Amino acid sequence: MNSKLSFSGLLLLPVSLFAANAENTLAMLGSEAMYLDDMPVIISATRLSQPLNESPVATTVIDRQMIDASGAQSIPDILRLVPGFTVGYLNGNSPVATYHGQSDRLSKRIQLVIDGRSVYLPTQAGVSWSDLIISIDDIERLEVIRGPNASTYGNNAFQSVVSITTKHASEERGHYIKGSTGAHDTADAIYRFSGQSDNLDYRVSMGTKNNTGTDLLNDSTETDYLSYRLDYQIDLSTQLYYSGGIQDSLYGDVLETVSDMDNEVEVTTAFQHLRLEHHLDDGNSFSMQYYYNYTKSFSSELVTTISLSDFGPPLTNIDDFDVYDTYDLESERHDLELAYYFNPGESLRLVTGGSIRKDKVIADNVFHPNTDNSLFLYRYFAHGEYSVNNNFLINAGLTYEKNDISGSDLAPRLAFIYHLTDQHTFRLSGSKATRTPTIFDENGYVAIQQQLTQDGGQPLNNPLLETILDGDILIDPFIYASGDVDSEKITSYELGWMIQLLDSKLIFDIKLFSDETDKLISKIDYVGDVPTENIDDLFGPGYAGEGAKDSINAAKTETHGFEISSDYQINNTWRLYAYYSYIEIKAEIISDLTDSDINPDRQNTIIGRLEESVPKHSYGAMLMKQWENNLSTGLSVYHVGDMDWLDQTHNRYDPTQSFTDRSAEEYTRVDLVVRKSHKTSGGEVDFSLILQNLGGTHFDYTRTNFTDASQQTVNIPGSEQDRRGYFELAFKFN
Amino acid sequence: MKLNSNISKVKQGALNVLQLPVPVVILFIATLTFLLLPQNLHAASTDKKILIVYQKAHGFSQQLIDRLQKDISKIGYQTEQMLLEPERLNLLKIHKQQLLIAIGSQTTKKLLEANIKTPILSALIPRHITKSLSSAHPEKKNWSSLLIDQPTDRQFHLITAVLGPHKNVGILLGPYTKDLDKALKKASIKTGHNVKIEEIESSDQLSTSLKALNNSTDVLLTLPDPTVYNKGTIRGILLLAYRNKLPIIGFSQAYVKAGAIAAIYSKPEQISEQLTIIIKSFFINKSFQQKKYYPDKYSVALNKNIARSLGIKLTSDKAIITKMKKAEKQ
Repeated sequence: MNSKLSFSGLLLLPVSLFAANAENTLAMLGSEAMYLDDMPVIISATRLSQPLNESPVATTVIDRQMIDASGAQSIPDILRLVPGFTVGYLNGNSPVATYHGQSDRLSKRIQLVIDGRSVYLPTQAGVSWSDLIISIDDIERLEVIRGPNASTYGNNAFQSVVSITTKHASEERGHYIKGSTGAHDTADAIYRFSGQSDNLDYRVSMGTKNNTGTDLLNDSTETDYLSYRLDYQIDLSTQLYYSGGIQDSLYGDVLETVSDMDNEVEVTTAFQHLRLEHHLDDGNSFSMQYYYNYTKSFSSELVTTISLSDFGPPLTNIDDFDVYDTYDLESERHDLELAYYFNPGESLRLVTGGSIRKDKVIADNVFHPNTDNSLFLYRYFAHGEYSVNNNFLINAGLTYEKNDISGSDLAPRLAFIYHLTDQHTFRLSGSKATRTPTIFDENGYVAIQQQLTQDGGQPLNNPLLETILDGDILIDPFIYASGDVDSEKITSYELGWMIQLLDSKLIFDIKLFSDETDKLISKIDYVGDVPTENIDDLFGPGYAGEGAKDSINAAKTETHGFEISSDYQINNTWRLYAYYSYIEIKAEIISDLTDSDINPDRQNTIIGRLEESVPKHSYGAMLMKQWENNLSTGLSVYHVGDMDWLDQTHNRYDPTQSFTDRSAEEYTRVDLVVRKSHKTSGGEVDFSLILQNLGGTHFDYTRTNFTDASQQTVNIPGSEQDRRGYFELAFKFN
Repeated sequence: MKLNSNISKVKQGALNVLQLPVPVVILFIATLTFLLLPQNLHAASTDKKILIVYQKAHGFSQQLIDRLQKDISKIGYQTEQMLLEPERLNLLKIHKQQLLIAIGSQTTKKLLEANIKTPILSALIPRHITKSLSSAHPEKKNWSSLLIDQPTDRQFHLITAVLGPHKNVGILLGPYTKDLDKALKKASIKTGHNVKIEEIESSDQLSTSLKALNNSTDVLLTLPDPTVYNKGTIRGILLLAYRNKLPIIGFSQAYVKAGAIAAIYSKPEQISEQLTIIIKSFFINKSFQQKKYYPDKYSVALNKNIARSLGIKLTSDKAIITKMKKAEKQ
């Protein structure tokens, strides 16, 4: 009782004290109140990062210095620094990143969170790296958990988790203006203002990003965004975080089959994120967070014009019609999470909580009619850490998830961390995680549905044709989800060894891993007659190419290998970061599928693609130097072995296909960044020169040419990673 | 609380009209004390009257006052406490107290300005305020202070105990602490650390200075300068330091709760114990032995979660204090 009263008394004290200071004698400033007053909890449990040598899974932290030195132009560019990651540009506006391969353009198996908010898109079933409404300048650090971590990050923390922490609004106060120009008619600008008012810190950022894209593709970018962040100290023990943003983009849309067409896709994304943290007197705390993500994308492209009359009777007099590839997708995600952080004993730390999520997708022509395209997901989680003694830690976690599509899943994790000495730490961990199928995997239905007319728009008057079609609408589905898809599973084992030498100025981290995935979802030809399809009735089965595609749990993989990374702070001015990764993969079709479920050719394709999707060797290094006179440089080298992205690959088991190129042939990339800052009395001026691909041009996603089944050389222009430079000029002032 | 204030009103009432009989309870305690105390001490002490004067008593200072009253009573001196209000200042001049204990800076300032002849022992007062008050009242002789600041050597001993020897210690000084520059350098040499000091005149320069320290130091030692560390700057400093993995040594328990890894502070009972010793010595020697006293007894507050997150292993506070005391003796 007494302490509570005095607590509230103290609460009032600083205000009155500082008010008095303003009017009265300055000599009394900094009185004993400085020692005795309470202060708000600034660095709270939710913000604390785990020391790297106690992380249950290998973790790479990319700090601000590394981000600056890398000259990254997108968030995937930053991920080039992470062992086991591969980055490719499907086109100039679609960067993609994956960990241990097995990815198409959507980064399905990575969980990306920004300040605790998952930005996985329910419509695309993946991450749209260009639509994150975040400026690289606002990032404080990236933590990449190289391995599944469902017990902490939940659903889709399958192969890895990329967790971005943005700067607190109180950092980098004042105005910041940056302009960038350079390759491909780049014209980018950022304005940021951070200010403070009593217990409130706020930041507003806005920017525009424009370029004409790479030389061979229609992949331009025009993006405008606005974002804000508020950090409000409600009282000494309660903090409110609120952020939001909106981004409008117009991208050149690369349609691979008709690549010379000048199409565009419009994307609007927005989010709202609110988090309340409350610290209790006993040192425990709880948090409540709600976020809302919204995405809308629209593209409509004329693919071809069909002249049915060319086929002769009974298709005489039928009007030609245009086929458009139209996507009009809207998605929403609501997520509410409660978490409680507590320490039941000196050596035990626990977090427990639950969340409820609703994903909803609104789209014409993409789902089965009359289906409810929303997905509810409930999650309960608990994870904790127990220090058996000073040298031995046990880290365990468990997540239970239930969703509308695949039912319930349990994802456990157990890790043992042993500090042999202050320099050597070993970790042994095992974990399981799941990836929930998407609404599209469950309900997807994409079809050409064309009402036929004749004689220049007259109603169809062709009884034979109408009998065949059962009406006057021609239906040719190319995606038809039969539903009943199960979650993908991964079981991951890791043996880690961390060596911290020279007073932790030289750190090595070695990870040996063995991962097994199961029930990987793949596209296959729909088995049997698609109920809605009537084009087959007209032309016979198989006329319309490969028929409709279905999503099923088709394959499993085994991945083994090791990763080694080192970070060496040589002295106050030199720092060297380097890594190497070796990965082997073996894929097979899951045992309960037979040739009648998936035809053997398709089985080979699935296996072949998966096995080609991982670069066996990759390595990278970055040398950072802080010179005299506020000059800093970063020199980076990245090497990636041959690999294919799942949707841009050949099938090595098919003898009729002898492609000459991989979608990402072995390449080495060299980047150089030079930054110079000049401090003036009023602020700071920064100049930066970023040079990329100094080693020469390469393609890291799309192939350049290949020989198709009929031995014709086909040239598909790729996203050319050419030598390029950017110049940035930034001003900071109060 | 309400009851407490009533009691203190009664006490104040009794003080205002000193000749009135004291309440029965106090009489009873006094009688009991009289009976229990050894005869010689009693004879020496009954005439020692001490008045604890305060302006605001909340939490920490209230605990100190309560504890001090008990501790002084134990050694047989009479104590009273008094809420200092302007109309009472003149009364103090005619009081028969041999010693005034001034709790806090404002109380001390008021007493000095009122030119009260009674000797004053200040407590819960920062070093720089005693300095400015001394220069404002050079005539005041019988005045000493038990500072709230911990001595500089001890701060460096804490750094050794928590982080190990030979550290590059970053320090931000402002207008209220810049005079410590030499003392800090001296203490760092004595304790085997290097200091890098950045001086600022206003909080606008904070960001630049802090970044300079971040790049070249292992730890940031904070000293209570209101220009550097105030409500408006604390969030930015802690977050920037944390982002750069720079541990902070705070100057209060609250600072540790907010995000520093460790701080030295003295608890009310520790301050009270030392005050009691100073009071005894004052009555024996008829004067104060020192113009200012640094705290002898102290505790260490730790934020193990943050230390751990920064990769620093902290032992128990007891083990840290033992290490510090050992180092202090050397």
